[in-house]
Order: sequence, then structure tokens, then C-alpha cells
Amino acid sequence: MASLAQPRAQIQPGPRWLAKESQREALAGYLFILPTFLGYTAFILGPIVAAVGISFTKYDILTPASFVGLENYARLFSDPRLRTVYGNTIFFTVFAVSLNVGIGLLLAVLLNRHIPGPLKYVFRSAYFFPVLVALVYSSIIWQFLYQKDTGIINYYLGLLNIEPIAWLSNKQWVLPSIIIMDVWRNTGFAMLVFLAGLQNISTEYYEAAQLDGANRLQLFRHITLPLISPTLFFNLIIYMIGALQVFDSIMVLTKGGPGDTSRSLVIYIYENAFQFFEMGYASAVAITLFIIIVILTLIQFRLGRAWVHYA
Amino acid sequence: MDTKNVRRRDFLRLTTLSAAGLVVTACGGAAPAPGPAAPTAAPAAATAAPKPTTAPAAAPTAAPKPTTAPAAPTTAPAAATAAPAAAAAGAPPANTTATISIFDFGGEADKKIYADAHARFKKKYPNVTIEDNFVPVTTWSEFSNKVATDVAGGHTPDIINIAIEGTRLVVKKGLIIPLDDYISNDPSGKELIADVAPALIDAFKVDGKIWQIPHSWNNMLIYYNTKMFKDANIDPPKETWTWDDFLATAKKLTTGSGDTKVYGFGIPFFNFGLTPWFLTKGTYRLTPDWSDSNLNDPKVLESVTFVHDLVHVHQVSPDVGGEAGVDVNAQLFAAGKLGMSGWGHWPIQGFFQNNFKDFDVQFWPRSTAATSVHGVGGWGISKDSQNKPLAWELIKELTSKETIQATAEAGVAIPARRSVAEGADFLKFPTNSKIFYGSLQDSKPVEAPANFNEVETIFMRYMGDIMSDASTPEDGLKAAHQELSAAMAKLKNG
Repeated sequence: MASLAQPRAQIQPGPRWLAKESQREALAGYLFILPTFLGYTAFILGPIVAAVGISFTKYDILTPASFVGLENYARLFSDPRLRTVYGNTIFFTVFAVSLNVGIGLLLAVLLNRHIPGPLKYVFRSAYFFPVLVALVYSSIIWQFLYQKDTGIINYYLGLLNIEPIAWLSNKQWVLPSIIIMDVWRNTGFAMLVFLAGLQNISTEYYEAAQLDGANRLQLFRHITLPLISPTLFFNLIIYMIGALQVFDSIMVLTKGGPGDTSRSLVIYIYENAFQFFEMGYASAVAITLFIIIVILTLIQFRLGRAWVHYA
Repeated sequence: MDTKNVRRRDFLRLTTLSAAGLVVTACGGAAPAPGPAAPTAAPAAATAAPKPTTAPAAAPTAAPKPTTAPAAPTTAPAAATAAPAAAAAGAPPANTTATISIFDFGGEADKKIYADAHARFKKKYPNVTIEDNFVPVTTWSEFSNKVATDVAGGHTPDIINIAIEGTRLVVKKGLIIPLDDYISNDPSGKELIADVAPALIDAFKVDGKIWQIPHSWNNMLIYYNTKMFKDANIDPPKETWTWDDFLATAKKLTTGSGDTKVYGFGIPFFNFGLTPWFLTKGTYRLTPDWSDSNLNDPKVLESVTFVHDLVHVHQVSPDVGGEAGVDVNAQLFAAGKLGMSGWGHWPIQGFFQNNFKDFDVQFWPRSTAATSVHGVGGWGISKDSQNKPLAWELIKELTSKETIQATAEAGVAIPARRSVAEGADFLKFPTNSKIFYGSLQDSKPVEAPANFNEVETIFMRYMGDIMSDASTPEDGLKAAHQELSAAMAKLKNG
């Protein structure tokens, strides 16, 4: 042992503290994660810390920041628009997450059945395809589809004698319209993740249960669901975080209008930061969203212990 | 079967046009992200620098033109040519070595026009490098964001292209310098000012000083479909028509239902586009000094109620689509589904490209006042520029007859120089084109205090509420007045 270590030490004299193999391995490990760590620090951790700092200031980008203490946080409680945009964001999150994950699961279960080879790929690709298209392009296409007077959706509804719907300019319809587009676009990703989960379930479980006389619903409830619960959990967390931060699809479709009826929290943050140049207040709002996402994620992890089964 | 096919074709055609329309809308601001990516809402920003697509055809052919004298018999051509840049007092010597950095924005047509102007400048100053930070965005908000962040990041340009919407912000923040001395010490500066309507110069005056040199501008006029008017036996609108005449005309033009529905008027639903309704009622959204909200003026309520009723009472206008960025009006107008709508000069190229020429323009109908709105784009010199005299020379090239003539040929905005705007190239279409520049006589600039972005956002948000019937015009304006007053107070208090 010692004779093996000795010659190496001679070949690579190096600093004293690297004398041990384990130390050298550790160094290599650190070097490997260094780029990621630097990126994380520069682009995620740094901005978060900066946002916390800026949230205590009045800062318009062009003139130096001045410290205002908790003023921006006090304003959070007297801002009626903040309540509206939080309401919109929560409404969007509840429906977008449940529909994306629910429909994704349904599609995955359907596509996991025995379907002739090529057809299986056609279906999977078709449902996943919207995920691949840049959101802005698909949003513009949806904007055309949703037009009240020239949109193709209202054209076909008209053939069924249904009055044209102002999808994007009616206060009742605007958020549902955005959710519909979001589900069309994003459910394919949930489907793909579920498919991977489903394919990991050994067929032996199903065969055994079927021998015991379980029906399809029972198979799904007692075998499929528990065994894909980690996947389901993953999807719920990912979709929840994404939905709470919804921005681009709304920006392209309605810019938050009419009025504030479709304005999401992140659009509101953007508006304050880059249109009103109120970086301090925008940062304070962003911090509230950050805290809420952290808390919700922790709650989900805690609840997850009860229903997520890791093999 | 047949109808279905036709419908589908119609749809495709509309969609294609919308693509153009979308860019067109950009002029103001609302554009979705691909080319544009839009913050605020309305094509408002566009005002001054609306830039629809470009004229790919026009630009190349325009190139070989420089030699010919721009067709402008009116103003003193002698002055223009007789004062070559380098001859001006204080102009840097031709062998100056420097780098000039520019912030500008717009569409492809603008980019080409600017590039040609830079090339001409480099013939005079071969050792000068021009660093053009051209931002292919079309909304004022996006551009001001870009300028602010770049300046905050320590990157100060020598020359900035700004629309009136941003002028007071950059003046207030001390980013640009007044240009009065450059103008008065330079014969070609004086010639330039003499060739530009005073209203456009005044738009860039703050505290009695001129801060920018206008290059192009836009207004709001009524566009009407000449064929539809003829088919319905309606006389073309007269220059002096009133809101009542307008409504009667819109009612006559509104016909059909479902697939055959035709509306009389498409509301230009963006900040700039809505201004004529206030101006022709003798009011405005801000007080005359732009220091406070005027939304509690009963005349403002009358104007907003009139616009609201076009959709909800008289049903002569289609719903306005939230704050989205597609210029649906352009699609509908070119497809013969709208008898009238309102724009500045910017959609004309798009209509041409779609081979739609059955339209003409007329002044906005009046209620109690005959007036219109204008927004202007212009060049300013940065306070921190190390090459101010050189920057001035470049601005002269960017506003030379040749450059402005190219603007006219691209057909996007209205050229700032009267000699070009009254030239044959600019006037060739539509028939009544003379009123583009002519409207300046009684026109007022778009309200653009230093917190323009905020004013626009507040106003359009409440207009969205009102037009979607989420609130009545009374309640919406009351709440808007409260919020706007608070924003203006904040501006006053620094």
C-alpha cells in the first residue's frame, strides 16, 4: 500500500495539503462543480441577495439608490393592485397545475397502453411538440385563434350557433383562455415525465393483481398511482413553481389586460421595475413571491412524506 | 362547401396581414416578442418612431438616388448644399480619429437608412468609427429600459435616438445636453430648423431649450375604405366633419352579422391612438403643463363615454382586444371588414405590401375643437459624450435631406423636414397625403411628462377596464384619476 502511494507522491510533488489521494479527489470534485457553482452564485444567489438589498432602497437605475428602510414592505399592505395580481396568479396556478398534471397523467396512461409502434411515436411526439415550439410564437398563433372577430375558434363556434366569445378582452374569459393555452403547451412535458415513470413499473405487479381479480380502476389506484407518486410529486412541484412565475404567455397574449384582469405577479414586478423604474418596490414584491414559493415547496415536501412512495 | 373554402382563405389572408399588422402596431408599442417583445400596452410608444416592417423593395431602389436633388422646390436648396458639415464653425477637422457610439431603435427600414447615413458621414470623417447600438424593438418602453440599463451599467452613448415620450425623462436625469448653441452657431443647423415645422421643434423644448433634433414623427388620422364608401353611397368625409357625422357614417357602414359582419370603425386602442378623442373635445388627460391628472374633467368623461359607446351602445366598433399587441384593425380594415379606423403614417407600407390601396385619409372628426396629436422622434447628444462636436456633425447627417428623403421613401413615419414631406415621393399616396404634414398646424404633442411610462400604463389599464365593461366610464375614470394624481404627485416630489 505504502509502496504504491509513495511513487505517486514523487511524480506529483504538489502542495503538502494535496498529499493524500482523498484530498486530490475532493479537489477534482470541487473543480468539477466550480463552473456550476460560479454560475449559480453570479446569476441566482447574487441577484437574490441584491434583490433583498434593493428592496430596502429607492432605486430608479439612473440615480444612486437611497435607503428607505421598510417603506417598500409597508407599501405591500396598502397596494390594492397587489391583491388583484396575487389573486390572478393563484387562480392561474391552481388551474394550470391541476390541468397540466391531470391531463399529462391521463395522456401518459393512455399512451402507455399497447399501441402499434409507429403510431405510439406519432402520438407522443404530437403531444410533446408544443413544448418544443418557442412560447412567443405559439402565443402569437393563439392570439390569432382567440381573436373575437377574425379568430378561427369563434368561426367554428359560429357554425354551432354559438355567439362569438371575446376570449382575450372579456374579464371572465381572459384567464381561462390563458390557462387553456398553457395546458396545450405544457401538458406534454408532464406526459413525458409520467411516461418515464410508468415504464419503470414492473408488469409483474399488474399481473399479480389481475390474478387476484383487480379491475382497471383498482390497478390504477393501488398500483400505478403509488408507484408513480414520486413522478407526480416532481411534476406538481415543477409546475407549481412555473405557474407562480407565469410571465411570457400572458405578456404576449394580453399584457395583463384588460385592466388588471390577467396580470400575473411577475408581470407586475416587471412593470414596476422596468416601466416605472421602481426597483425597490419591485424587489420587495419579488421577495414575497420568493418566500411564498419556498414555503409552498416546503409544505409540499412535508405533505409528500405521507403519500409519496419511493421504491 | 364553397363558403367554407372562401372563409378559410379569408382567414389565411387575414392572418398573413396580421403578421404585418403586428409589426405595424409595433410602432407604438404593443408588440409581442418575436420581433417586438412588448412591455406596456399600446402602440403608443410608437408615436414618433413607428416602424412597421420595412420596405424591402423600397430600400434597395432608394440607394442609387443620392445624386439627384431631392424633389423639394419650396425651400432653399442652396442653403442646404452650401453648408457642408465640415465648413461649420467649430466642426472637427476631417482627419479626426474617434469612436462615436449611438443608441437607436426601430425596424429594418430605419436600420438601413441609418447605415446609409453613417456611410456618408464616414466619407467626411474616414477615421471615425461608428458604433451603432441598434435595438430592433418597436416600443418606446422597451427602448427606454434598454437605454436606462445600459447607462446604469456605465455604457453611455454619444448620440441617443429618443421619441418625445422619453425626452423629459432623459432631460430630468441629466442624460442629454441642450443643442441651442450648436444650432445657432451652424448655418446648416439653422437651415435644418427652418425646414422643420415649429410644432416638432417645440416638442423637444424643455425649459425653453431645444434638446433634440427631430427626424420623423407621426400623428393620428382617420383612414377610410374608399371602395366601401362608394358601394354604400356615402360621401367621403369632409375636412370639417363632426363626431355626429362620424357616428352617422359609422352606423351606415355597419352591416351584416356573423361571417358577413362589417363594422364602421375600428378603435385604435393604444395611448397615442386614443388622444384625438380628447383633443377634439378640447381637453386632455393631463393638465396643460403636464403636471397633474385632468381625468376628472367632465369633457374627458364625455370622450371616454363616446368611445365606450361605439362598442357597447351603437355597436359600430368591434371589441377592443384587451391590451394585446396584434393590430387587428389593420387586418380587418384591409379585408374590408372595417369601414374606418385611425393610424398615423405607419400602416401604409403594410397595406401596400398586401396590395390594398382602396383607402384615403381625413382629419379626425371634431366635437368642439379641430386638432390632432403628434409624437416626434429625434436625436440628442449625451452629456457624457467625449466627442460632442463630432456627434453634432453626425446628427446633421442623420437629419440631412438625403437621410430624411430615405425615411419618406421607406414610408414609415412622416419626415420631419417640410421640404421632404411636401415632396412628390411622400405625397404620391394616399390622395389626401398632404394632410399628414398639414395636420401639424393645429396639432398638440402627445402628453409626455418624465413619468410617461407610468401615465400610459395607468391610463390604458383603466381604459381596458372600461372597454371590457369591468367598470363604467365614470367609475373607471374616477379610479384612474386617483391613481394618476398620485403618480403625478410622486413625480413632482422627486
